[in-house]
Amino acid sequence: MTDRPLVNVVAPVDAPPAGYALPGAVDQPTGYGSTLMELSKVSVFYGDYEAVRDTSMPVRKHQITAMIGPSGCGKSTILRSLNRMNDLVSGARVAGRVTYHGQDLYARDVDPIQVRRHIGMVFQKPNPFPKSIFDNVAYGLRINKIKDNIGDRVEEALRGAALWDEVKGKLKTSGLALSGGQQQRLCIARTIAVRPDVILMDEPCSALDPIATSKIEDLMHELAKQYTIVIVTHNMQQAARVSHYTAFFTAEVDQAGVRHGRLVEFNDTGKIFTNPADKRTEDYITGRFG
Amino acid sequence: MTTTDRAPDLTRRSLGTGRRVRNGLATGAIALALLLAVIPLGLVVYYVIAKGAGVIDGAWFTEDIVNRARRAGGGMQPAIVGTLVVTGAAALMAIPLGVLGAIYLNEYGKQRPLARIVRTMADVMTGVPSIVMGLFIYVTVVLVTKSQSGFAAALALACLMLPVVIRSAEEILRLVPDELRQASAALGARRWRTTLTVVLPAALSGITSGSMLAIARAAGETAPVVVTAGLTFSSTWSLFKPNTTLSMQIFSNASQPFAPAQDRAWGAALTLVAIVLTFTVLARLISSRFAIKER
Ligand SMILES: Nc1ncnc2c1ncn2[C@@H]1O[C@H](COP(=O)(O)OP(=O)(O)OP(=O)(O)O)[C@@H](O)[C@H]1O
Ligand SMILES: [Mg+2]
Repeated sequence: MTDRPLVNVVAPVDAPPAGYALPGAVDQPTGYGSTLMELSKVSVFYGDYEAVRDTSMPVRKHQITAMIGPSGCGKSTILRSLNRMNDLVSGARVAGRVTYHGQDLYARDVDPIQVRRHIGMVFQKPNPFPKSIFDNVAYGLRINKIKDNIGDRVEEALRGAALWDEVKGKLKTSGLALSGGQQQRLCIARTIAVRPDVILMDEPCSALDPIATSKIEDLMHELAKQYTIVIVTHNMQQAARVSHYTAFFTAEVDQAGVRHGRLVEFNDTGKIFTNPADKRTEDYITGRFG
Repeated sequence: MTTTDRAPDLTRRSLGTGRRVRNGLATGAIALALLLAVIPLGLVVYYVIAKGAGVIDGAWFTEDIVNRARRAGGGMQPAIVGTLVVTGAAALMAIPLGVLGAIYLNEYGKQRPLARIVRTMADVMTGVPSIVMGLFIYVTVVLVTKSQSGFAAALALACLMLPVVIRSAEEILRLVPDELRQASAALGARRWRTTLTVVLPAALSGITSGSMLAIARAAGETAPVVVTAGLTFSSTWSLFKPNTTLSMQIFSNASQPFAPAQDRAWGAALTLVAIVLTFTVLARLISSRFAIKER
């Protein structure tokens, strides 16, 4: 662990989100804190199995929203429903509404490719393409038919991902020759190169050491100025350190004996960690959960 | 658990005798198996070179084949040209089609009914004896066009190669990690784009290997070529005339009782081995240029 406090933002319980201003985040862009995406009564099915049931929560603009909860409670599933990555899983189906700028992402005439161009994703396992570092970052630009100043935009993205200084001399070498933490930052660079609106991150630090983790956490603070971030994490200190809002999920067994993921509580991170409304949340964050 | 200050013995000596003996035996057995596998390979290469190198000279590559089994001399140009034309045409038909088929199966069809049918059919086709494939082309092409031709032979070989290319390419595509496809999709790439720019480059060297194996097998096929291409003695680059191949020359010359013909058979065998080897090495070089290194 790094030498930071467990909860870096111990704000008065009723303070507005702005009270959680992050270091350096002084000039908040306009629209800050307004609802950008909204899940209402979202259930996700894999075949007949309802993996997550009845989830409703907002994703606020230029804020970092964390999803925490025990393994298998459906955090990744919900995250993937936000940019229609579940479409790639055969048999997966989403019920309910996921809106982005008020539009239903699952409406019939919505093109999932367009959705993903606005809502990018960083995966749990670093997965750079077996291409050069440059081509990894340029890939998204090329598929989006961006031809001008590719070099500049690659540099900008690598700088944005705090990787430029480490790779500027070897852009032509394979992205797979980087360390795990560098690969993950390469994947972040690849995602921000296309300037998405929202970045979804599924346990982006789970394969990384504390130093690489803190680099990526610092990076998230930087990125939040320009992007809206949703992060899944197993590490509660991380959620407490980086996020403004936290959603706590758990798995519940219903009357029929089937396990479903449920959203237990969504609130300001400060509240979740200092004064949770639900007993289950409290048990989980204090480590009393089984 | 007792703890002592003495450092534990980490050398091999600390192993029990029984274990050391077993280790020695197993290593010996593996070495022996390797040797046994290498012996036939070595003998084949040795005999082909020892017996075949003698007849190969400048004329071998430039002159027509002598029509008399008793007579020495002449060349093998028609069969070399025929092999290149027939196998090349077969590869041009079978490999693109086969790779496209594999892409359909692995990237689009997956477990759909059509994909399952195609997969089963490819497996069945792999089991069809080559002579049967030759007769099939004989009936459907040679009898219809009323002429044997290099093209008919190429069709027969392509039919033999196609299922091999499909199945080997599909296996390779399956090995491409799904995370790469997801990463590409998450950047807003469409499926064809992902396939073309991420999946295929990652699979290229494996697909090349599989295809080269199919080509090598096809280049050595004799039975289907005999019935579809005929047997000629002068060279032609035309696909639509009767032709001859090295494998056919090996077959027809080796079955003669005369020494000059048998020498020709060995020479043709050496030439065929050399051609297949050259193309395999070339294909490896080219694909390693395009394929992206793992590290
Ligand atoms: N592709 C799939 N097909 C079928 N079921 C799936 C699939 N992916 C996930 N599930 C199921 O959905 C449930 C939620 O899975 P999910 O991966 O969303 O959990 P998670 O909260 O992200 O867990 P973790 O913290 O371990 O990553 C699990 O019960 C899992 O078995
Ligand atoms: Mg997960």
